[in-house]
Amino acid sequence: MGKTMYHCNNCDVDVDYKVCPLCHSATKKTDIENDLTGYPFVKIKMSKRAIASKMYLAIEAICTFILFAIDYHFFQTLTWSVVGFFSIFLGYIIMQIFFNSLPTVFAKISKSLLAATIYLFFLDCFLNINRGWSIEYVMPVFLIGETVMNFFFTVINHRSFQNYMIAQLVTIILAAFAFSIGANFYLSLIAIVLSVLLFASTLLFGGFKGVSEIKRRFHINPEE
Amino acid sequence: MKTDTTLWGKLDNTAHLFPVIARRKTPNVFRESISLYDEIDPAILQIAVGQTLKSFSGFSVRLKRGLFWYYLEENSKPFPAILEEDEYPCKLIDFKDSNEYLFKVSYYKNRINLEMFHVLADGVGAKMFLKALIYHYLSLKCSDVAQLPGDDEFTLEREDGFQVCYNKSSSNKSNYSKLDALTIKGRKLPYNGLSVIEGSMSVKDVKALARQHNSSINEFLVSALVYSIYQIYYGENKPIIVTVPVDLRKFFNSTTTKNFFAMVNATFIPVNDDYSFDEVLLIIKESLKSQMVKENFKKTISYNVSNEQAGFVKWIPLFIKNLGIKYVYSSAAKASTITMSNLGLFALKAPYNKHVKKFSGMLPMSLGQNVKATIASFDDVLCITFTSSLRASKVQREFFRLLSAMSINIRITSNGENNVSL
Repeated sequence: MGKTMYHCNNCDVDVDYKVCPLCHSATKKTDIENDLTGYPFVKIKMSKRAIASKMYLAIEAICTFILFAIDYHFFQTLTWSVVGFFSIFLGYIIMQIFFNSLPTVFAKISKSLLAATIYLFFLDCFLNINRGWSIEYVMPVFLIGETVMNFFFTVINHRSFQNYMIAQLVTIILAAFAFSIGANFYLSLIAIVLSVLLFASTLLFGGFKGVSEIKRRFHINPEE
Repeated sequence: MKTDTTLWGKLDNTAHLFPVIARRKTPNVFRESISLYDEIDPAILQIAVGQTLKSFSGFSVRLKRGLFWYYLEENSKPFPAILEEDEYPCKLIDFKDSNEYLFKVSYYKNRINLEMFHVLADGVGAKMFLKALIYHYLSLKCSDVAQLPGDDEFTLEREDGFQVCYNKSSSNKSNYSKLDALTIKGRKLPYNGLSVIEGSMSVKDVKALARQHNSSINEFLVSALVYSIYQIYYGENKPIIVTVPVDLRKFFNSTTTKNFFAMVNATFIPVNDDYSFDEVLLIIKESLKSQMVKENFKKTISYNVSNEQAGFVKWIPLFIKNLGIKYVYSSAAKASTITMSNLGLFALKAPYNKHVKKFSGMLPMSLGQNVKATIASFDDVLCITFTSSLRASKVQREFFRLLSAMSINIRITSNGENNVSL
């Protein structure tokens, strides 16, 4: 005979363990055979990513404190220490982007570039020197960079070229937006022209597969 | 020119919610398990999953993000290796590990676990898949059941029941509860742990007891749950609302394996000082009966589908829609104390049935609900499984004690998370 069941007198139920899971009191052994399957003991494992992430946050907290203390003690202001804090925080965001389960390298690089652009925008707002450079220069440069990167990924990964089409469309919209809010005329024009050219040529060379992807993403006529 | 033959399909009406609200704490992954008499052979199980997927091609899909909606796309990657269970049940599916499949199969001793992301199917849809999987597994493993049963045992329908049954002319008013329900609170288990307490009993005994009380098994067990919560929170006059998912297939003559269910709320508002179990049962029976009518479900379908089809909603970008969905979901979550889902009977043809011992199910945690219960039965074994993110097991204790006091013989197993009270 294998394992036997236990009985909890408080709850009047048969249980498969020495301690009743309902009332936590000790149970009495019975002669009834235990044929219940039960569940495995779960070992809690903290992933290396989680450990690295927590360590980074701890180091960031210490560094920020030191930066703030020095800045305030010697200069009686909080300017460059805030810049330092944002820079370390950008590192954390990029680490998170690369650690999390984003499906492609392209998505990881794109999001990191976007995070860096947003970081520069915040710096632009925070530092009172020649304000507006993030919109005027950084935004169109980011969009040009995004388009060039998209082109290389589309060529290298040409079998799955359709995966980059939505990013191309989003870049066109953002480039038009940058143009309309007063980004540098030539840079934003280059961003628009490059992104439109890339999308049009992908659609042209991609043929049916490209059109199909657009239909899927826009939810038109599922073929199920 | 190459042609793109990748198939894709829209999500059903209910499924739009799940990708938006799926998080580590609220994974929207439910489990259905079958316990056999013999130990599971993982190699055979792997082959059986492959064979089942050939007939259930609607389950070989990945979830993709469109500009306006999520959608499902054909997944041609191989199904990942089937591993022994070593994690908490109903964990958020890591699409990297699952080769982007929206369900997971694992085993533990003599049990096969199917864990499914709710986007793909509801409990009944998963039950159909699990049934086919068991048929394939047993026909490969056991010499006495070499022949697969006929096609009538496999339902492959993947229509959106909500769209099929949608009637534009019906009223588009919401009939969802707006009450602020009682919440079961307590100290949480660490590391997003999930406690499992499973009680097995005889279907015949419970049926006889329910009959004595002039009710169905479902009404009886929901009332027992409400009464247990009422006993624990005696004095708090907040409504106790048990959400009960209802399979709409029998109401609308559908056989779809996609989501096709609606929620009804068994509502008990303690107004007087003291209630007996029979009084609670009477109130719950009335509450359930008043909602379990086709007309009511038609209204629910009409409301849900009209929201999805509204012209302006269609053209709102997905990330904005998601914010709206999250807001509506978090407001609606306040109107429920606990969910009790009845997966019903798992029936297998002879001689397959003699190899199966038990069928059970589990629900994941959701916003505002820290305890959930699932009822499932096979042959004469009724299995009630409580999943909880709390350390304490007060509700489970009161519930099983109540049934035990009514002369039901209960055998309890757990995953040990509640065994140590600190």
